[in-house]
Amino acid sequence: MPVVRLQSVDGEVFPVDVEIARMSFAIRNMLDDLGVQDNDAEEVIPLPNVTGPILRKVIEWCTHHKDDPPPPEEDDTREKRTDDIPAWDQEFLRVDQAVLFDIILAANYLDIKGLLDVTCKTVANMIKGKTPEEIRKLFNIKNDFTPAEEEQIRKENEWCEEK
Amino acid sequence: MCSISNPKISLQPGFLLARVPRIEDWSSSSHSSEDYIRTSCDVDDGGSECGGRETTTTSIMPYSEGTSSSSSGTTINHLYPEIMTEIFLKLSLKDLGSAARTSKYWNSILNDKRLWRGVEAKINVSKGGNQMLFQSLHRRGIFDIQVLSLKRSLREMTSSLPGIRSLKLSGCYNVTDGTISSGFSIRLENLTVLNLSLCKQVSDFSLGRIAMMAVNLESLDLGGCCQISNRGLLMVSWGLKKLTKLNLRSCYLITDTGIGFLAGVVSQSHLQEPRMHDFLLKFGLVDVPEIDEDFDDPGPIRRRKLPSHKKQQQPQFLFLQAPSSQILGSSSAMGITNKKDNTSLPVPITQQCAICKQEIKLKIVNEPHQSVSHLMKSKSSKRFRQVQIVPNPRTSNNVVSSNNNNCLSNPPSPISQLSSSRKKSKYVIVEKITARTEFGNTQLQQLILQDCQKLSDDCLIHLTNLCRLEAINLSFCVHITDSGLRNLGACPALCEINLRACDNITDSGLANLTYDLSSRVTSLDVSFCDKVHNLGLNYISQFSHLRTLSMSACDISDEGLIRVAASLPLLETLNIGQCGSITDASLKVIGEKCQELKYIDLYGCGKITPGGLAHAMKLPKLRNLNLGLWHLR
Repeated sequence: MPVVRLQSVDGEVFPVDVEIARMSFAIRNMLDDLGVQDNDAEEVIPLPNVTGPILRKVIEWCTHHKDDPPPPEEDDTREKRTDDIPAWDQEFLRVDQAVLFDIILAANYLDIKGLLDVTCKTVANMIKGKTPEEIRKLFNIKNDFTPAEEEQIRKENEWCEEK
Repeated sequence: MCSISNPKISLQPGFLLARVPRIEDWSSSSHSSEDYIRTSCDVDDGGSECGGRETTTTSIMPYSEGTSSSSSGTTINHLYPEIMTEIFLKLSLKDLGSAARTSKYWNSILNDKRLWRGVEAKINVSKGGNQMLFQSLHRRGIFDIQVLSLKRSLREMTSSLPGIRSLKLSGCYNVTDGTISSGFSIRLENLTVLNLSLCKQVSDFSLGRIAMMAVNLESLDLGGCCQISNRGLLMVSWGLKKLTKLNLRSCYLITDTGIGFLAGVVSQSHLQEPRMHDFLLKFGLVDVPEIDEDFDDPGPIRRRKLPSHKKQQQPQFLFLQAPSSQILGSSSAMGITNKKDNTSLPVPITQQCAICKQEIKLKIVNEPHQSVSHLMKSKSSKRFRQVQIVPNPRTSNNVVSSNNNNCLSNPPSPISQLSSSRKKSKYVIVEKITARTEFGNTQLQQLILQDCQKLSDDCLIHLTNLCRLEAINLSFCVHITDSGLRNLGACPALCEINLRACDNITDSGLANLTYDLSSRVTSLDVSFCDKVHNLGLNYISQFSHLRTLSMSACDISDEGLIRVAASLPLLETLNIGQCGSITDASLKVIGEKCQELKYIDLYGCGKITPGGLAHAMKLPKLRNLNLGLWHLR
């Protein structure tokens, strides 16, 4: 199996099967554009936006999901369900918020749809059913509305509560 | 190992940022102040090289709060709007509302129209200003509105949401003609769905307004609007050419003539009928006969055939406020009242444009023609290139007049002194209705006439003109008889017929239906037609394409039902509740022959035993077998 070497921003180098690395559309496009051959295995691809620990997590996820069927094409009718996260992924994503967000950024940067989807679902699940105050507390978000603005925004969104 | 420093092969930090939409794209105009949406705009200088580890890591963050750049400091604020949208896309409506209230940054992301696609806002229109609410709906691209309660006029909503697509006022009991008048004071080109069911105060006048201002309406629900009469249907027939669905349930003033209007059957005598004429006069849709002959009138201008440069024009209505009932255009919707006046003319009047809302003071003198020319000459009227003054033939002083109802409109004036100004006219509002005017809702596909008790067989003759009509509901129309049903065969597209509780329908009526419809009808409801017996089922068994059949409480027995079940293999829904004579023998045949059956209602079939039910339960596609008081359709 051909191998590519991915280098994180902190200099760590990860040898990865080409097929697994190609789950990242960013890497896939680059390999395709450059026509990298098998014998180029010694080449190193620097990933200046991903740290070593995060890259290790991403590679771990990709390795576990390497035989997944390709994700369906995006369509407007996609369901809003978030209760379909596989048990392995749930366990895999039982991490600090900071790590979770770093994985999301990495998944977005590397363009790995499946990983981005499952991490976004995880965050959505954290938001679900919470009041604005609880959401702020959970994510440490500053309430930057003035009291008047807050009342206005509440009025604008009151209807969302209607069944 | 050799590290490739060639920028061609390394993934540049700018790679991702190129895919992030620019701030202007997703943030709203009113919430886009840059102070709370900070992105890594400085990445261009910081990220062009991939050497500095710390700097590049932080440079991709859209929102760097603190100085900490290590991964442990990443918070939800570092996620790009694009990613936040992906997360929000997975939230329910209620959660979206909470998210919007969290912070300004989140609120601005919540303006992404993708998040609200297909959402219908169910809102309470409160007494206080709702403008911000409507503007927020507009920003989010929400154009489907269900009003739950209404404590304010609709003007604010339609002017803030001119792109409104669907407006449902169903059950808002306090909706009046004034409400409709205010809401429909501007053209609502995008409105395709309007539901006024159970708005019982709504009258023909509202339909006139709607027909003028919402010409692209496709679905109109007037169920329970019991003040609607034939006059209103004439306006529907005249103005709403794209209508495909019309619900007139329990509009019991409607007669066969009104259905004729929908079908385009309008004669001069209908238009000249005094009450109809007065009604049309209020909309400026007809000329006053005495004047019509005296002056050179180029004839009706067909609204749909206007030159293209005129098509785009907004209609301009003049509302004239006057202390005298002699002046046209008093509008109670605008809070304008007519006071008794002892013709102490000239009287100052205030003229208000419905669109720009500017008020213009005018003087109208006793002489009608003088007053008109005065109006046209006055400085302030320059923005109104066309004014119609409607002389009232019944008043001696021949000044303009209207009843105390809401009034509007200024189509081309019949008054010759205005003819020069007509040539220069910039605005053409409506064509006059004449014998040559085209009437008829020829696109109509679904017509619900349930409980319109004045309708008789004659209305079915009119229906044959509606060549796209697919579904007709005549339930509770007790004057419909067997011979009338013969006409339905001439409706070329008809495939769904509801005759529920039409007391006069008998077996021979079903025979009449079979002549032309037996190969077309997919849905038939003759429930509670207690004159339908086994003989009628012989005819029903000829409807080989039937998928839905309802015969609840019909006087039928196994003999007839077995024949139906054996000859209708496509049946998906069968309602035979309260058919007390049905036994297990029928169910056995149904279980064998009706392999497509999904729903069956057996409520009140006292002779059926568990053994019979077992036959039905064997049906491979059966989803619902009802034995309770719930009727399935």
